[in-house]
Amino acid sequence: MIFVTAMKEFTLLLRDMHALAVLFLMPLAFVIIMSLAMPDTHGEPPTFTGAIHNPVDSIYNRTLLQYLVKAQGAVVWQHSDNNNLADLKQQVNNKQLDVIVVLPQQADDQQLETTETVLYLAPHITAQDKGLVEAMVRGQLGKARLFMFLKQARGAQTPEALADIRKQADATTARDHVRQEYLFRQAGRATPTAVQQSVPAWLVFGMFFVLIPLSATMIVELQQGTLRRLQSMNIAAGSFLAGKVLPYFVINQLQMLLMLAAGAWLIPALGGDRLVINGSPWALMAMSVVCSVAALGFAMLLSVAARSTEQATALGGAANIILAAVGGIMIPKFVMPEAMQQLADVSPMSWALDGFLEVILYGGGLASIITEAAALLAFAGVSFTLAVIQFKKRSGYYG
Amino acid sequence: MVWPLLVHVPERLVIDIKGLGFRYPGADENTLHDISLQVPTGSVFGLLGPNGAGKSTLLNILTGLLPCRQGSVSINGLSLPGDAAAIKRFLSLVPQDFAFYPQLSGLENLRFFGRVLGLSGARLHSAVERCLAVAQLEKHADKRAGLYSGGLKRRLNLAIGLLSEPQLIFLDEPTVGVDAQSRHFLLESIRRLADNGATVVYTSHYMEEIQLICDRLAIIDNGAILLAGTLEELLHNSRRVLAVELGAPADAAQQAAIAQSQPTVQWDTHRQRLRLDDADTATVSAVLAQLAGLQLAVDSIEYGRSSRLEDVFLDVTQRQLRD
Repeated sequence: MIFVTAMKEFTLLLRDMHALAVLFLMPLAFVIIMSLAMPDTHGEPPTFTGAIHNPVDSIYNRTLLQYLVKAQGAVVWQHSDNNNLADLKQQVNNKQLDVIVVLPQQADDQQLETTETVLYLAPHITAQDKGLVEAMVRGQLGKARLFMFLKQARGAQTPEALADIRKQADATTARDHVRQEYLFRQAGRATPTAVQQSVPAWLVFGMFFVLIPLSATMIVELQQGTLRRLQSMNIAAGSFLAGKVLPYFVINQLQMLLMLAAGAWLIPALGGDRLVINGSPWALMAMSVVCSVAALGFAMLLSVAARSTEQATALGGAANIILAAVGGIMIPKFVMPEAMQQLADVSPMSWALDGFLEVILYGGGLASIITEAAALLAFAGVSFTLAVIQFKKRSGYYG
Repeated sequence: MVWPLLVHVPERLVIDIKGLGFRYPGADENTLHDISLQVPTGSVFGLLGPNGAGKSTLLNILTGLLPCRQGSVSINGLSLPGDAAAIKRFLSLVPQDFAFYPQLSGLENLRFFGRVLGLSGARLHSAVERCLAVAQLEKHADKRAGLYSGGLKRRLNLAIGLLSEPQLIFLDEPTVGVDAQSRHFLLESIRRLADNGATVVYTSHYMEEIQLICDRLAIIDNGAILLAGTLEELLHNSRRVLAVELGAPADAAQQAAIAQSQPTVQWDTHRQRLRLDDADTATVSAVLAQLAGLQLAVDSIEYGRSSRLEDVFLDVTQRQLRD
């Protein structure tokens, strides 16, 4: 009996090309997307090209320079013969360099308490990699400081002189001695923190996921004669579809409130950063509305295109996950290679995420989200139109 | 002496179809061909046909779900498709599928569909109570419809169709998959609807149901009406059937001998009963003589026009298996 039942199921599956496509093509697509989007996560640590800019010829700087050149870590450092910092920065822009370290300005090796080392970073360096670069530089700063301390300690004879040297040594641990600055990033375009990325990203994903329950009920209505009965009761196609969409629109708005509340209260309570909305609440509401409309249009289109609940669930789930993977939901766009970042722009989830980040992270207002909102509305318009055409064709609505 | 005045009073028609044809978009040929049919008010009208005969298409046109583009359809004096919206107000369709929401209770389903029909407040409450009572669903009203038995689901399906107190009800296979008790209950309920003045158009594969409750019927096949009339009219034109019960089973040689002279003879599994459709009196004499010659004792003989609608149906639809 088990064999007979298994053969029956197998035959059914073979006749459902959509299910087969999902079973095979979706994992394949994932392998491709993930491999391209996360090239370094599971491989060797990153290696950046760094230039050392030495503005003054002091013992301390020469020592530091030597240590940096010999150091092994995230950056391969080279002393730049070019003393023009602007030229080095241009090399960063031209992607010839990833990092510039500017050694302290102090010419007097006796006045090291107030030194400042500056790190200029290329825009593609992530927050995680920035930490690696800074740790490497701090390590060499410590060694140079130790060198200077030992050098001075040999000449110190009195307890006062030793205390003075100790004071200088303590000062080297002050955190403000290494300043970091990203080059060629748009003003205010900071990399989002985990909570700033996660809340809008998974909100968008959640909004688009309404297609699963929506399509399930739609297909049951189409298949089980409920729609036929409703049609015989004079219910218009527009009313029927609007009646289906409206509750899910409300659910989408509740999803937004819940996600924002989680970012503002739950995540900090669990030890994470607090989500702060820097932009206009009106813009946030507008983004939520257009994102929901786009998600519902997409859901409606898939609902009327699918022939069975199983097909809708499989197709809808796969489409959602692929759009999310491509669109920077699962892997933040800023860590993707440039080609993948460009590919991300084909996903409506990416447009929605950009819009939300514009408001939440960069303090945008209504004017700042016009492009994303227009793209989402256009996507919704096309989806709804195709859905209505297909719905009328399948359900027999005429007129 | 005063002679009574004999005047023919024409029946009032609720459905009047003339020359109806229908072709689905993209199809090479018509699904319905030149259908003409009349359904009198207050009758239970049976629509019979094998699978794929065109019953559902015809029902969809009559309920305004498909456009009528060839011929004319008049319902209660209103025309389709122009007056479809007005027509839908006094008709009700009970689809063959369980056309309700299994996640909702019976009561919630009735309320939902009642609201779709425009009922609210006391009218809605009263309509729901009435339908629950008609379908005897009061005890199950709060239970999720998906958990109903097959019979309860059929009753709920029918109850929803009665919410608007329709003058014209289309019932598409309303007793499929129910037990004898539920079938009996449903048939009684349907008959009562007609007794109370509603017109019922009833499709079913169960001939005995049609024979039991329908006043008139039509047999449709390959998109055309093959026969239409009252049950008596249809049975009157049926073929004469001879059925002979033997005292003992016939052996193979005896069977072969009869089959040689009567190629259309049918035997039961015990070889003790033979049947001949479309047998004239000469055939009856010949068969009885042959049985006597073969030393086969006869226990009983039945001869006459078939009283079974199924025989008429199989005759006119030519017994071919359908897809």
